[in-house]
Amino acid sequence: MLACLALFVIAPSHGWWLPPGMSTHSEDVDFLFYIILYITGFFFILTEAILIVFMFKYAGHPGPAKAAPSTGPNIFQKMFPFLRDQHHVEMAWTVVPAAILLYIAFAQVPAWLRIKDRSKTPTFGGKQVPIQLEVSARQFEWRVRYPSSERLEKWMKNEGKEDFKSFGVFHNGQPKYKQMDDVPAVNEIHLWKGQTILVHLNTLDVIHSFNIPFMRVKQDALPGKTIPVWFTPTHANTRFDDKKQRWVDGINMETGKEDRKFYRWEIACAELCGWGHHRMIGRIYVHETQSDFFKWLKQTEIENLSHGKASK
Amino acid sequence: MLVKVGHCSAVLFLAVAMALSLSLSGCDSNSYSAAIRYLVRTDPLVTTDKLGEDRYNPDRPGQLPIFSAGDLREFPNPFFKDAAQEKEDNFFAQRKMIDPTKISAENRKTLQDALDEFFGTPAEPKVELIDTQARDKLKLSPEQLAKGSHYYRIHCLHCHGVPGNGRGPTSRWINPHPRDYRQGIFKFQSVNQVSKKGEESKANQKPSRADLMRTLQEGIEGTAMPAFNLLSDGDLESLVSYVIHLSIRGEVEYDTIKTNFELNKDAGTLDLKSRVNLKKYVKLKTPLVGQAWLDAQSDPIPVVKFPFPETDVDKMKESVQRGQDLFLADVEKLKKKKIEVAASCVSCHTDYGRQAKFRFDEWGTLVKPADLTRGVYRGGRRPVDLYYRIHSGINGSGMANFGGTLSGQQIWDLVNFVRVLPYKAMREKYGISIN
Amino acid sequence: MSSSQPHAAEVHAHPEMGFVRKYIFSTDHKIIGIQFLFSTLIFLVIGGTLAMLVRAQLGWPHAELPIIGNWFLDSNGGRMTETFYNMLFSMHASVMIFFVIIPMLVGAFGNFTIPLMIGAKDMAFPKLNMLSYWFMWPAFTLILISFFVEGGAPAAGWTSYPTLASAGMPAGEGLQSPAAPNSGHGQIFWLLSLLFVGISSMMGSINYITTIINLRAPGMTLYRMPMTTWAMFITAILQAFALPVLTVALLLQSLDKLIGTTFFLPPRGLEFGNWHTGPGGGQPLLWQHLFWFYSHPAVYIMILPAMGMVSDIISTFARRPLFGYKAMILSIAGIAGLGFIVWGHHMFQSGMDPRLGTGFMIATIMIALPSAVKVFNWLGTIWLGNIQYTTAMLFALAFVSLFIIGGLSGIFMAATPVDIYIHDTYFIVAHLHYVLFASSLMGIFAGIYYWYPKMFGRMMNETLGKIHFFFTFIAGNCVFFPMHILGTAGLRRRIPDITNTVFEAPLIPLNQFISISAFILGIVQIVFIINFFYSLFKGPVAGRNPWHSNTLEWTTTSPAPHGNFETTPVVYRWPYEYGYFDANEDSKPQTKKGEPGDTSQGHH
Repeated sequence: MLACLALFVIAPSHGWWLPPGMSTHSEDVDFLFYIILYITGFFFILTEAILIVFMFKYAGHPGPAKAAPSTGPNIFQKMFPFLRDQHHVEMAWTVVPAAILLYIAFAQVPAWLRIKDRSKTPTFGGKQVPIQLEVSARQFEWRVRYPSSERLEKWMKNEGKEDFKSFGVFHNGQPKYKQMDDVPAVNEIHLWKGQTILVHLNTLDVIHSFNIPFMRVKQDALPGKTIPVWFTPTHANTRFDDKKQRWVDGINMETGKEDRKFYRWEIACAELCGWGHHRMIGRIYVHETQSDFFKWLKQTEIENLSHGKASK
Repeated sequence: MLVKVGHCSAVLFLAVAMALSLSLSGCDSNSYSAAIRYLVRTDPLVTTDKLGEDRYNPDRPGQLPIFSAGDLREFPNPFFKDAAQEKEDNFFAQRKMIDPTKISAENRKTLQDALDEFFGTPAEPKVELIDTQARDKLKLSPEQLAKGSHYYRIHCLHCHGVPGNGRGPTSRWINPHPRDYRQGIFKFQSVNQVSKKGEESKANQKPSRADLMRTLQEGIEGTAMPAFNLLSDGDLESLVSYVIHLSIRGEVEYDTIKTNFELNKDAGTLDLKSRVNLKKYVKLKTPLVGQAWLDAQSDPIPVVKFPFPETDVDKMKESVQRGQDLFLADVEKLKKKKIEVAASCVSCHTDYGRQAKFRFDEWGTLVKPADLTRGVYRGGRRPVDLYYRIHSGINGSGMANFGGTLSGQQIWDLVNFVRVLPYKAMREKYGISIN
Repeated sequence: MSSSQPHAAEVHAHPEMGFVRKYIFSTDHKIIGIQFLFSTLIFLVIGGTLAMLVRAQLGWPHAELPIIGNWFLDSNGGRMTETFYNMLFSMHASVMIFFVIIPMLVGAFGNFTIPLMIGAKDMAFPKLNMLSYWFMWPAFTLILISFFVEGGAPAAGWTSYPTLASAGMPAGEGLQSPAAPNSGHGQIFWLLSLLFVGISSMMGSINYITTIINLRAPGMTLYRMPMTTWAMFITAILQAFALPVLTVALLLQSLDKLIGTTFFLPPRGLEFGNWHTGPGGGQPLLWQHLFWFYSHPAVYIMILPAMGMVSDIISTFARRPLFGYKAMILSIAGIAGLGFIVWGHHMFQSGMDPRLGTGFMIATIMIALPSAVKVFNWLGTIWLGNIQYTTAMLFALAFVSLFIIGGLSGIFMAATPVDIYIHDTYFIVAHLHYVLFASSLMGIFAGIYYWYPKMFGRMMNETLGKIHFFFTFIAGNCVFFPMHILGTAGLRRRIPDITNTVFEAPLIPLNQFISISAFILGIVQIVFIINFFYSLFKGPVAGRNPWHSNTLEWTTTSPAPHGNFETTPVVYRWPYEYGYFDANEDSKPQTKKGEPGDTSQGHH
């Protein structure tokens, strides 16, 4: 028991603990996690301590029991006169845990609704227009499709409602209105700090799971269905590296220093999908500002439309 | 007493745990063991792509690529029909396939030693006999190769096999099957495959390093080759070097066996041709292959400038419609336009690819002309990538190169047409229909 | 065969049966129970070996496998392939769940103890009982064959989610699967094997329910049955209601794979490169519902009998009556009943809208309640006790302490936002191994040590037993407790090589520690095997009631004869009359007649 406690105490200092939350969902999730940890930790210590104490105190001798001294009320019964007989004890330790459990049950419903309630899918005219993209999980990569920068800019200005909606129309798990100017990417999702993102998650082959531990996001992708996933990052991790001439992540944008451990946010498939399941890793690049993001998007668009360097 | 047993057990447990952890901690070796070698191949060499009829269905999971000559006799391997018990000899008799297990043990050993001497083992790969310039340009130093070998073992080997033979444990269970590097043929590249009149043939030129990097970084959409951008660029460069190493070794081995052995029909063995010294042949062939790789690094496909700004809708419309005409035209019609081709687009990409049939490629696996209505392009979806495919074809798979017969303008017309093809809204905008 | 006519029955006179009728094709429930015990112990070794291989890969993902790496893994650089690893954990779980824990608890212990504890001569349907054992043999054979077929044993997880497990080529193109090599023939064998397991269990459950309701000895009212029997009774009801759904699910997937139906194939079909399944008309989520509708009650099937056994064992060795007998029965019933309405909690991340999932979530959280009540009651049982530390008692107490951990970690998962984070991580693995290994299996060991004298007429060696216990307890905790930390850090399940991600790669040292502890854990079971087989032949002969326990099985000889009791027992008390009575006795067996002035603590 002591070893267990010790492990829980030293683990966070070793870095073997919850990765710091980087989205608006993480407040909800982490708060609940810690509350449950304290409650269960308390009961763990309580019951195990009682068990160990009893094991030593009542360690017996072979042969018939000795006559027990007449036991007057013990300390618990003195403190809680209610506990005068077995029935009442049973009731006490049924009702109190029940109350605690029901509290846990109801405390987390609003958080759950915020993260997964379909009727709360961020959309046009809501608090903030999200950027939409389609993520198609495949064996064994994440194929991402952005709308063109022109469309996206219109949506950010609250224009083009029908167009916005048409991006999100799916039939049998596949998009109905793909466009030639959509921007493809693989294993990478870009967005910017404070901006909600709406991912239309689908797949063509087997069940995968879109899992971003730092953002506390996890959603299975089912063949034949398209499932919306949304989150809003609260920190940025990407800047343009002039030497390498491309955007690099793993940067703590508040300090400007590189920090691969806490600022490299991976999309790691979390549902067994075959022999390459462990290799199905993508990355989230959160830019500092909207303009940085559009710089990346436009650059990617241009590369995708490359007509090559003319040789004559 | 109980407590004593408990204490003793706890102490004993900790002691054993520490002993084990100390002894096992060095166990995570990160490279091949020295005992593993590149063995001389035992799977049949394929020398042609005329291995059977076209068909609508691909091979079933578990059937291709063939691991041994005996596989041909298994029902329902796609060769079975044409290689049935009594006809199997035909493949080998006609030298459509060569069975290297028929080489004598002595000759095998000679070849094995020669290859080991110049190409090393998976744990210590090297490429000797090529000049320093090639080695530097192709980044084939032993350090790079060792690094590449490490990553290859973790990530690539289970599909592509230890010697890059496309016959790893997983290879039979994915379709299209993983690439066999040993023929030195690569599909998706930006290296010129079209030679001018009087020039030496550039057929099956090697890809550039950048092409191989592109494949690794972006994967091949629609196949089991995923994007490997979870590895850093430095790691990927070392993998490219290692793949080139495997390809050079494989091609030397392939060519040696193909050129220097004859089928002795009575004895059923492959005999060494007279007056051939295997080691000498290997020593001669290797630098040639290395040189071919080096040449390919500086011979990109010449791309004609895109003739009009893409925002010009009218010009684009005309271009797309010209492209469709070219696509649909048959060989006779094209001849009239002074375009001499063996086959027109639609003759292979039947119904824009929607009804294309599977055929054999030069690796002995089944491949299908792409369904162009889906918008999935294995070699890359940029317009210039499509230009490369049309200009220089796709080596090994039956997609011919048209760079010698079509002008740059015509290729761009085709590219525009192909790009517009999958999107209904675009087709309407540019006035084409595909019924 | 009603119990209202006590008749002086002698041990049945039979024509002398040959060895085959007596020990192989026997209808005697004790022999059948022992047959289950031996078969499942063999599968325990198989399942454990698979787990050792899993840990070898996890601790040292890039290394060559020692010894076998050089033999036949050259084509993969000396390492096991990813498909092999997927197969290892899938088969480890399948074997452990369907061929070890369930048959051991329900088949071995259920069969052995029920008639003895209720005072019956045998089960209600002895031939059906024999059939239920022999139906396991096709299951054993099929699951073992699946290792050797083309593509290998199934590798889609023991949960066999479509479409990884169920995707097939279009009709007429063979039984191989385009999704994974192991999802072809291997998967089909797995499905068929589990069909046999299900049928065997359903036969057993009918038998148990009928026996318990109809064949109790005179005076044995339902509220005088020991907890073991109550647990077996309620477990049998669980099995009877849940198994048909699994059977249906298995049949549907078999049809999908064998004749090309499309129960789990979405309308557009699937694409695996050049391989396209045809169009479908179903959905993969259907499997999840059907599968988990069985598999959630299944996990309760795997723990309730152990809970019952542990209640009896603790009570016997603490020399105290069970605290809150009725509450214990109600909790078992509560767990079982609630267990039917929580299957959705395995699917919280599959796209379930919270407005639907809230019901599942509340029911799941409430299951913690009867479990907590049981734990408190066990603590109450040893309060003021006179604890005899036999090996069985040690294992039973370990059950209690480790079940606390397992149950508490379950609460994290019941809170769905937290589940979003810990689903498919090692936190879940930790939880499930605490309740299955550290609880059920410890309960099984407790039961073996406890009932061994009654089964075989000899005592197991206590010193070896205690060594076995301490090493198993310490090593077990060293293996599974750190997994909670791994899960909190986000380490995903079913990953053969964790060095590919930045957030998982630093966890390798902890994984190595777990692997080493696991190897020790595995090796130490040899002590148990030696003890078990040595004591069979050379152990000290056991008396009728070596543990001075009250329940009926201890009133007959060890081992119990055919027909169980020399005369039909008559029951006067509940089973938990322990405590101080006078200087000479601290327990009153159930068959002891009541005397005036008797202060029976039971309710009757």
